[in-house]
Amino acid sequence: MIKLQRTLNALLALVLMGILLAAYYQQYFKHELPCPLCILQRLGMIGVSIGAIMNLRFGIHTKHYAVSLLSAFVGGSVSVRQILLHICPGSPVFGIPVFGLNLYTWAFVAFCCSVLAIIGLLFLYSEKEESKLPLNWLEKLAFFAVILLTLANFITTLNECSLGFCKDVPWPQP
Amino acid sequence: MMAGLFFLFLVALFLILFKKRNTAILASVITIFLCLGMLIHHATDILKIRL
Repeated sequence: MIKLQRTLNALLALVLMGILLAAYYQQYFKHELPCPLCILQRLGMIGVSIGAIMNLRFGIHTKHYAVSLLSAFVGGSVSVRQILLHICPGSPVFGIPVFGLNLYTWAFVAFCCSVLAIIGLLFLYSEKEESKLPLNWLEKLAFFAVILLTLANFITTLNECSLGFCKDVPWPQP
Repeated sequence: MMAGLFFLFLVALFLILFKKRNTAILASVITIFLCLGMLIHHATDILKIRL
């Protein structure tokens, strides 16, 4: 059961990093730079992954799940805010929809799914079982994917916004 | 500002790497609350309201 929980934690982190990679595809191939709220959603996803990574490194603990849930709550709040900014009929479209939904809507779906995944993992949790084990290849991959994508996001955000606040609409306006 | 939040998460990740569990949790929670602060700043700034 412990190995299943650890594998699921690693998969949670990897799926969220996959979403961030997809965001990079939108950024560099579709030329859709992230707005401030988009950057906050990326931070939320990294926060959820950090909780999962802590479970892998230090053994599974409810405090680590609390970090993930807090990040999912904050990230989900940002997504909801962005959805509500553009929800009125007649509002201009913000960004290129992917499979019919905007990226901030997909981010909200991802945060909700993360919360459900963490709820499932908490059902599996038992404090009596020793869960601190050496990292296997999947867990190491998750660990380094989170570090790499956090570093990449730091560099690209620094490049886009420098040390100040980011522009509300980062692409040229007509 | 935004890049600084990613930097704080990087600090948390390096604390995890060096097995400083409680400090990593503290760094992560501080960063998440700063993200919440940024959201509130964005909301009040764009709508020109004061809380």
